[in-house]
Amino acid sequence: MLWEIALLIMLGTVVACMFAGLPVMIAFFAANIIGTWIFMGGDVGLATMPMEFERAIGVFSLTPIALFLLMGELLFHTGVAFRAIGAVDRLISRVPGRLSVVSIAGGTVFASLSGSTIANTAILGSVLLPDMVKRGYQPTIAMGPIMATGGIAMLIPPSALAVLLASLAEQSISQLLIAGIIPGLLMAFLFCVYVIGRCWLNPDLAPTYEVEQMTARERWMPFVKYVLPLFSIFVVVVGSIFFKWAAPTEAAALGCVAAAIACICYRSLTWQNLRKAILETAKINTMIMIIIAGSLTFSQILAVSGAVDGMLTQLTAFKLSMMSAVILMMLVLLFLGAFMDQVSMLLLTLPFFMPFAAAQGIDPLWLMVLMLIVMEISLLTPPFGLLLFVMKGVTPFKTSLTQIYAAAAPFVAIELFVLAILIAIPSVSLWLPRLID
Amino acid sequence: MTESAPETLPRKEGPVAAVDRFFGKLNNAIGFIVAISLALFAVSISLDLAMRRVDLGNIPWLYEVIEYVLYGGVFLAAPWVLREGGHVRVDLLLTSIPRNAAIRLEQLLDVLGAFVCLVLCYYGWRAGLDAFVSDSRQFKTLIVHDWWLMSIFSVGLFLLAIEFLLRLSRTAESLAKDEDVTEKPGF
Repeated sequence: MLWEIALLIMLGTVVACMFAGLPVMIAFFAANIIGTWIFMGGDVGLATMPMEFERAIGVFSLTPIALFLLMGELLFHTGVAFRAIGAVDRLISRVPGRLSVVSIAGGTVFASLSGSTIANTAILGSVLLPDMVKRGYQPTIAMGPIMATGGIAMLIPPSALAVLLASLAEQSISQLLIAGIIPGLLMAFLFCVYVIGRCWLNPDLAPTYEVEQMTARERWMPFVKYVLPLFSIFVVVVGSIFFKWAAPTEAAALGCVAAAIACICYRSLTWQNLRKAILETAKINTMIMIIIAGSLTFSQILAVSGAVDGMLTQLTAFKLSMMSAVILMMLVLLFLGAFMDQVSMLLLTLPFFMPFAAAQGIDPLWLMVLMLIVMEISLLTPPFGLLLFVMKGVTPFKTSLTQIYAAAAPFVAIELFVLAILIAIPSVSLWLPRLID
Repeated sequence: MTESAPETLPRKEGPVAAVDRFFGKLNNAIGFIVAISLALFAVSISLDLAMRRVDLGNIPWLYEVIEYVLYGGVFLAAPWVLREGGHVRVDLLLTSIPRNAAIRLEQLLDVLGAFVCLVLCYYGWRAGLDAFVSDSRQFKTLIVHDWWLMSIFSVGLFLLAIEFLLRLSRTAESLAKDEDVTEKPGF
């Protein structure tokens, strides 16, 4: 069979099922059944397929996904994260667009404690948006930074998606986790510059107000009490990986224990919020893992059917330069990201991208960082960016999706700018992980 | 791309409603056990690391148990996640067609979902039977029969198929009562 037809059957089935509205896992399962029947010996192939599911997800290196999610959920449901953001709020004063800057700083702090972009956005939205509305902030400058900073949790470790990406690409999880730090911080810095600049030029966007007068002690004590101790969680996770004291899974487990201890110390851990945190973690973990189960078998069938080889041969024949190849892959991801969730687009493209990158001599770590950035961008791109809907869910005022899209647009532009920097200067993302070597 | 909001289930009468309620409780119990297992991963992995660091040895079977629990938990908890509206889906089409057509499409998707799950359940059952007959096992620190693993898979997919069918029945009832059952974007 021609590779184009094989590709059409496999990708066509998944995409058609997804867009018809079937859960993504079922879309992959359906394509697997059809693909196995056609390309892997029909009935005999199908009888061996269930064992492949076990091999796909019964893998220890996938455990950090659940553990990083658990860290964030614990800090979220116990309210510890809310207090930390409140403490950051006290530190920042006399800055144009103060509350938006607080949302960026607070969100970046929480991103270093949580692997969940949704939790990050939901926290920032519910803590800061009501105050922003009360102070007369325009929706653009109120919602945009919150959504954009929410996505930084995908880059700054602990990041559940980085673990998934590195694990499936059979690359170093530790290196990818470390590689996300500088791009994440760079992005947060540029968001701040934009907000301050924009509000300085147009003060009506975020009216200034008299910040409550506080002594230095009143200003700094909450930070010392509610933020500094939480950095120990980040130090435990990233430090243990960086100094090779623990493997990523062990670091993630230590991070959960540290988060639980922090919640106990703040007298915030109750049976109810612990229950809520673990149930939410189980829900998201199951959703991600079952898609992985379906998609890995999907990748194997794609390989057996000859679709991957055929496509690679075709692409290689174009004699693309390395840079063109990278840009092409990013454009494909950006397009898919407008319609698909991050896990699905990752699993759909990885079987093609990794061999293609190897053939083009592209550093896989660099490529994975770029993929993470594009996935972060896709959280904000209309019509189906996930964080756009999270924001709609947490806004205290009536707002249309169009307003939310408009609020996200400048931050998407900044993220694209960061992506361009990382493409042009790979060492921005690569020098820190190379230090581990 | 959205995740759906959890569905509210008003108390209804009849055998299907009774099965639905029983199933809800069963799924919640499974979900809770799986959630507890994830918390135990964190504790046990940390303990194992600490033991190794202070030269107290380690728990040799821990990683394998976690791998099996991770696998089993995912397939057994999948129906619970479906019931809670936690599986990712693209609702581009569902939200852009007229309401009645969307409900009919939703029903068709439930049937398709159940069918796919039943096909996989059947092949899982066959793989389990083959493994039982040939006595195939996984030899690592622990020795695990393949048919155990396949049984978990088949049970999980069977429960998932039932959940799809129960959704179908809920959609039909809501249609009769003129309720809006199409899933909405947001959380």
